[in-house]
Amino acid sequence: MKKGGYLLLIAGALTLAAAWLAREPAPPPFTCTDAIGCLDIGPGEPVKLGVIESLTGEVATLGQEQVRGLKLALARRGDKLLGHSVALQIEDTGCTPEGGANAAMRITADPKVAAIFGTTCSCDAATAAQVASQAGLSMISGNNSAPYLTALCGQKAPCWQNGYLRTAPNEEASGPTAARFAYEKLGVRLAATINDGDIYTKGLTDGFQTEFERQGGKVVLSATVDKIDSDMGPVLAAVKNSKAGLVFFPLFQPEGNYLLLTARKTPDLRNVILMSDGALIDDTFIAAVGQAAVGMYFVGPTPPPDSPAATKLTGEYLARYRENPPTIYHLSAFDAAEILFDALEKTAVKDPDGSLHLPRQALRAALYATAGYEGVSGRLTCDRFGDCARPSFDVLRLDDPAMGVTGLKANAVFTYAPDK
Amino acid sequence: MKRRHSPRRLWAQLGITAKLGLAFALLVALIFIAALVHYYTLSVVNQAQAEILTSMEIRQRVFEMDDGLEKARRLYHDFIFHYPEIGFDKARELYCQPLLASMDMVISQSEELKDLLGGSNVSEALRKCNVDVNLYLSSAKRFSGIFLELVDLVTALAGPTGLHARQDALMDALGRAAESSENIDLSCRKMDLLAKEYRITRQRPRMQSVFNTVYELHAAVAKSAKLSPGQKARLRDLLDQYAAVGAKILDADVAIRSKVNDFGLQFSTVDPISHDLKMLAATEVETARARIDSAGRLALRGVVATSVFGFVCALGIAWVVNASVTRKITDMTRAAWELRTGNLDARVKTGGSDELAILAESFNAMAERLKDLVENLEGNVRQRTLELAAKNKELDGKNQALEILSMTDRLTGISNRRKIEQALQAELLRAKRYHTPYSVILIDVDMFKRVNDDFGHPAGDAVLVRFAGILTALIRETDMAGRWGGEEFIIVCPESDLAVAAALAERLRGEIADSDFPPTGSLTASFGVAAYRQGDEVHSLIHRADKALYKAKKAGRNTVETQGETGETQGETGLSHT
Repeated sequence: MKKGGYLLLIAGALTLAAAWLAREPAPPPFTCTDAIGCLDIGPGEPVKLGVIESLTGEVATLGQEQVRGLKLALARRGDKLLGHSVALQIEDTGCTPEGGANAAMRITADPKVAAIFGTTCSCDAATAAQVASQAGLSMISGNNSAPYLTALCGQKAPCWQNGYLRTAPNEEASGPTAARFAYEKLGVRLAATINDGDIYTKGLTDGFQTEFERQGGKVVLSATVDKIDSDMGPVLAAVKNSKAGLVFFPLFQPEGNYLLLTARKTPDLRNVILMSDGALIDDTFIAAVGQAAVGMYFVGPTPPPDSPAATKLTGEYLARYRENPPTIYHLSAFDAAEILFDALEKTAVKDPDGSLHLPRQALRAALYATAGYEGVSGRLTCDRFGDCARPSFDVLRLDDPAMGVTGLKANAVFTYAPDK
Repeated sequence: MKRRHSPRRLWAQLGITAKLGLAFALLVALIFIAALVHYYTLSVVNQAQAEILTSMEIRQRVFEMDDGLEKARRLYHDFIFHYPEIGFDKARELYCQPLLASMDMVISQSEELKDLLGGSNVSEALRKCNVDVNLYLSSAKRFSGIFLELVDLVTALAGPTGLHARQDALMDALGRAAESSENIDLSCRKMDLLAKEYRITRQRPRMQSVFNTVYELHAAVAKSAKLSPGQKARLRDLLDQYAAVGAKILDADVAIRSKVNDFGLQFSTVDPISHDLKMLAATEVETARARIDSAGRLALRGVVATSVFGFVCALGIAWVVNASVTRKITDMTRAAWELRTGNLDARVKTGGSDELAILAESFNAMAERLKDLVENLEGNVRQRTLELAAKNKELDGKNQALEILSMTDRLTGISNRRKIEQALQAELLRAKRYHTPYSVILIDVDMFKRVNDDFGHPAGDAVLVRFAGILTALIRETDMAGRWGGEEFIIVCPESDLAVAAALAERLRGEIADSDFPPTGSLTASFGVAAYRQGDEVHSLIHRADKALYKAKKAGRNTVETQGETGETQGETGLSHT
């Protein structure tokens, strides 16, 4: 080699050494100080999210709608969070408490899961949230509405779990809405309630009873049916015996169907007013019972006002899944997902190499700190119990089954918003 | 011009030590590569063995966990089926405690399995199963917890003091309280029947019918005229208690159903996990075995490759040694041998700059120098030889002339005395040995002093020369004439007796006497002839010839006198001439 070549080599080495000495000091390594620990996600690893929904059984469509709402939110972000791909671990609960617990266990078995999206049914949310909370995970639902999950009468509800939030409105006001309408508008003074024993329906009937009796009426029968029951004769016999003028039965399909059809076939109940809740505001229910549902009342959340954002999302839903959403809960599912994603992005610490560190308690705090979020389902502010949506409920009356849910929703006969 | 550093040139520039060093470095590298291959193979085999052992241990653990779980399920079913027969206390003792112990074992095994999966000797696939084991562990723990809750629920429902028992007791109490009212009693029995039916079917509507019956009974009790107010109050209280217990039974059943459903979900969760784990562990064992096989094949290929490569390297080293050392030394040896045998043109092929190349160049220079030296030496020798040959030839001529001169009389050109003496001695010896006759003739020119005195010495010399010429001309071929001294001549006559010699002498005497000797004119000569006698020596023979000459002189000259063999002077012919 020529002399000049050696000089060039030495100069290069000296330049490299100088560059190394003058380099930016490396940031200190992340140290987790979070009270319940941190999740570390490597540079090439996906952000794992647990999804717990009811994907089998009668409420499968609702669960599916929730998953779709989540996927639409993800799609808006290019299916990436914090520059990482997103892996969804989707588990089915079968809309049972034990299903919720086992699904949550399957999720929490993987320590790499960042958070949980779900559930569909409140009954499985209670057990799932318990498992998730114990594992230090945050969980947010776009469909749960049972008061027992968050707050009752301004206090922590029995099934409240730290880290559990929801964007569907607390239906603590749902039962009272039905009660007010029954007492004030329909003039009913004796009423019967029928639930299926889970915390959702029981929460509604309890809320109904409390408000109805507060109004001056009397709940003369608080009956329960099992989710597997098809013989509704005995419970309707009890309704007849109770001389109730209205039956509030916030049941799911098919128990709600059986009860309605049996009631319509029972002459002694011809004049008894039947009222259910949002679980039966479903085209499949209307199609199944047909004319039997004419005159029946439903209490459900007030649909969000038409907005470009909601219209756009519904359009995306239709475009992607080739069908209209069965309910409005895809909106709250979308909002729940967005709130979760925002919280993840706010709290995650990103290393230069792309690694992520997610303090779990900080994530919870960020979720609870959500305020004034302009969601597609409305303006959302999460309280300390995990409720993010402002409750407002309508009472709907079905006049024409042929109009389906659309016609039903258009026929709101009463609205009650406790915050107003 | 820029010099090219081609590999061949660089190689040529290397010294022998460097070349051998490179060759052996190659060999060491080969050994190192072989060692690496074997080390890698051993590492793979060791790792695979460790994975096999771990996988088998994992599989064993999973089997034990499965056994424990299966045992727990069996005990759970046994408990559910047998507690009505053997009672709760016995059932708890027989089934619950073993079940919990079994689940404790399963949980412990799960935790150990989790540690195993977190170990280093586990494949990535198995390590990923840690999540499943987490789930298995949490399911196992949940199973224990749920089972305890289930046992409590079942106990609360069907235990000795449970809801069923309480319901039965209430029914008994109702029966007793309603004894006075047949209708009420009948309704109570109907209600009891519905309750029993519920216990069989666990259908809530049956219980709802019970509640409806309670409602009807309340109405009946209220209307009954047979019952006292106290009895009515007692019956209403019993009916409310009965309905309340019924509601609790429903709640308990819902809870039990939920627990049983929970079990089903847990089993459906853990069964695939254990199945997958067992399959995966078995697969891992097979994979590890395959890896060992693969490593074995790789090692075999490595051995073959390194052997082939080693052979090639050995050839390379041999080539290096041969090309760098042996061939050069052989070339130099052959050239040295050729040089030794005279081929001064023998040279060694040069090239490179190693030590042997330098030696080869030195050898060639030396050979060139030697050739120059030898070529110069030969020229000189040839020149000297030619010169020597000429000198030798010259010397031989001179020696020959000298020889002639030493044996020839310088004046007359015939044999001188020395030559004659040699001939006399030689013939004497021959005569002695072969007993052949042998005679000598001694001749003296008569009155020669007068010639010298009268005509001068040159004339005398001319006479002598003329005299010698006559002798030489007349003697026989085998005879030898010589100048004996002064004017005396001698003739040696081999194979001739005294008579023959005397005849020769006489013929000579006559010829001489008849010849002209210018410038003196005629001359005569005297002859003494003697023959060899036994015991003669040269001097004795000559002496006798001289005596015969003297006698001839004395007899008047120009005479031939003989000296016989007996020693007596013989008058040969009796002739005496003056």
